[in-house]
Amino acid sequence: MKLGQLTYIFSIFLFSGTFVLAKWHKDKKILKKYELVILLVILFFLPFTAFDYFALKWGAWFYNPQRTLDIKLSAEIETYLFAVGVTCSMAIVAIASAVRVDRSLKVKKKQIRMKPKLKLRRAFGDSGATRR
Amino acid sequence: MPRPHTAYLIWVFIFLVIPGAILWFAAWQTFWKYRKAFTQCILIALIIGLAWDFFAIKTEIWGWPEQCCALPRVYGLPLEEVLFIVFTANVICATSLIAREIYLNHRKQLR
Repeated sequence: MKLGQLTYIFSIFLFSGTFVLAKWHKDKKILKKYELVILLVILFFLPFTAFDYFALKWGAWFYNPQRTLDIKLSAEIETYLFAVGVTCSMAIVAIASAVRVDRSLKVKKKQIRMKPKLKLRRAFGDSGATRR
Repeated sequence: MPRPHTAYLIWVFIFLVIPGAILWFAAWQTFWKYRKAFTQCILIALIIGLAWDFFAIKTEIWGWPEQCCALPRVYGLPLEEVLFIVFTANVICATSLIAREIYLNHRKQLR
């Protein structure tokens, strides 16, 4: 095996691995709760990597055997690692963003609930007598 | 087997566009609520994906045959690749959001 054959694996760690690590480090608190969900999403998508076979057969793209390990499991073996990396990256972004959306919606709901109270205060005045 | 020029487009359509459309049809209300998540996913996927593709072109990890694509190429990158990135991000994001909803509902029921 030549060192050049590890280029594909290296690129997976370079682009996907570093992103996952950085994002996980940033949103650790949010993502820790959803570890199982992320794992299940990755496992769900892993078998679909085999569809790469059709793309290779139809001539949509090709891999350079000098830059890959050239071990095929309906697709190049590295493609499965590629799928894990890409799925993990996207799942992390989606879940972290969804949690943030939920939080902002909760804050908005609270503000809406607070509004009638504020209106009452303005209408009747916020004097010491009413406070008692 | 599809015609050579449409091979990539047909692959994207069968394995990414159709599943994505089915997911959106099934849970569009949830997805619309989290449209920001989709935007973020697609933007990040485009930034990383395109950088990765240009790296792959330079190091010759993967490539696209001359007859693979119907759309024009930009710096050697067929435009179908952009569609591939966008629709892959869409499908993964949709599935992750559905999985999260199921997980949260399951936890609610346990309580």
